[in-house]
Amino acid sequence: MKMSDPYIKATKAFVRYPIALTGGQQSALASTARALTGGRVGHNSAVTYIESLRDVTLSLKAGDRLGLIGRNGAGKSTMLKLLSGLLPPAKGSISIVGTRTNILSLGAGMDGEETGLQNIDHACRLLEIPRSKWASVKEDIVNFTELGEFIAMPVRTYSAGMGMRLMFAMATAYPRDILILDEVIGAGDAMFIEKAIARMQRFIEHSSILVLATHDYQLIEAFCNRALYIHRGAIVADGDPAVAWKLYKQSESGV
Amino acid sequence: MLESRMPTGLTDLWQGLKRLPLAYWLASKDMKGRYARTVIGPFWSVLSNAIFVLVLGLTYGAIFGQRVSEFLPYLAVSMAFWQFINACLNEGPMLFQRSQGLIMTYSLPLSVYAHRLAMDKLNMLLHFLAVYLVLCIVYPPHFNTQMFLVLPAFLIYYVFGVGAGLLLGVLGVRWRDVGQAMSSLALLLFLITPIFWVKTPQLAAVADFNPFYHLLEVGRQPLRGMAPTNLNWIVAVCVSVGTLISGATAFVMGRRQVFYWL
Repeated sequence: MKMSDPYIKATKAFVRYPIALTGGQQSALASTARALTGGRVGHNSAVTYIESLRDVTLSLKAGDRLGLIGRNGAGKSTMLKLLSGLLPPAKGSISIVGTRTNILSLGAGMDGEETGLQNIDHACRLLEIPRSKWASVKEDIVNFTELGEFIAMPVRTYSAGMGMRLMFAMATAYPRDILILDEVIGAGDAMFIEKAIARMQRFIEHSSILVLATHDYQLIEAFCNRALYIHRGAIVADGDPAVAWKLYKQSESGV
Repeated sequence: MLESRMPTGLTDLWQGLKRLPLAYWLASKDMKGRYARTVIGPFWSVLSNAIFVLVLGLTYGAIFGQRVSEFLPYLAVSMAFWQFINACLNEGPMLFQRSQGLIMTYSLPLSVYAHRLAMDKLNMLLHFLAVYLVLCIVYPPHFNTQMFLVLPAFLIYYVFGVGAGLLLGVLGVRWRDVGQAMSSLALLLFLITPIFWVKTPQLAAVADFNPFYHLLEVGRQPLRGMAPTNLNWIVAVCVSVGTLISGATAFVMGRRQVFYWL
């Protein structure tokens, strides 16, 4: 069925976040006033930018399971958004081929008022899974989450771990080409991680790309065959997970 | 299945059109969600609108010296269509912020959310018309074939809603004061448009130069058993198509930025 293998290719990509520090920067009135006066109104005449990724050149192909490591604020989450196509680079380019699912933050895209079962139903629609597959997909998700009676309770009553289990099960219920996970997956307990690893194997068989940001080497070891160490928005190391992790740890103790 | 995940604005608009059933499903979920944990659900909007129409109709009807049998149905049908315009202006600027979780998680075209807004508001409009229907039983209008003209009017409203969603959504995510400005504008429009007052020869210019008057006329006149004028149709089509064109332009130009400012 596949016309081509999925890939992600970033070439010299820079990501700059505009940060509205003052109301004036997100105010149309202030912008107009600046335009009319030639930009000399106030001290906040230009939008403040944070350059969160610099010169990212990276190529991911089918079968790549990439672990993203780096300290807080190094640009891991921004990298995930770049690689999922949510943030277009300010400079450079990115091309992404493949269907994608994200878990970027806990509870995103879920409806807390609705039950787990209803949310599974929503996910089937939003992931655009063919209707004929819904029944089997739903059953698979319910079995994996082991939420018991909670599956029929509103999601707002779930603990972080339970919510995580449901999100992970939904995201991996149907073969996608690209799966992008932020460290929220750490909310699961040891048993969940074990089950998640087994489930991921199925995904990998579908020659998918996985990108996972985490501070936990166990997760990297279990999920990834490649790691990217980023520091202050730039790639420091790209390759063997053990090597990248060692570099990361060294730099951490060095500071 | 091969899909590029970096659609340009135009591809996004096209992909959004292909997902109208999904947009409809999202819109009906909005309707349900609005009344989660309430007992009478969507009938709250019908009920509050009915009370509004009744109180305003009886007091203003007396002030303006209108006959209740004419003024109440007029007000009910006017309010239903006005609520559509009002909601698009007020909720358009929050279009993308409101769907942030979905946008970040699922790779759906962004234009789906504009269709969702328009469908949700059309849904609400039909609910609000229930008040008018009840009044029709009490004060029957002239039932005739003109009433079918409301169908093209619904289409005009839908196009306006999608356009307003795209335009205000893109502007509102970048400049948060668009939302504030729109709610002031909506209030102003409510006062200067013949909604709770009736167009009279002295006030004709106030109405005729107001594009929203014509937009209201194409919706409410058919339901009152009267044909809108040609001018009404022309202006209404221009308003909705014009809004759609400016919305699509803003969307194609600003789509990339939406994620940054979200």
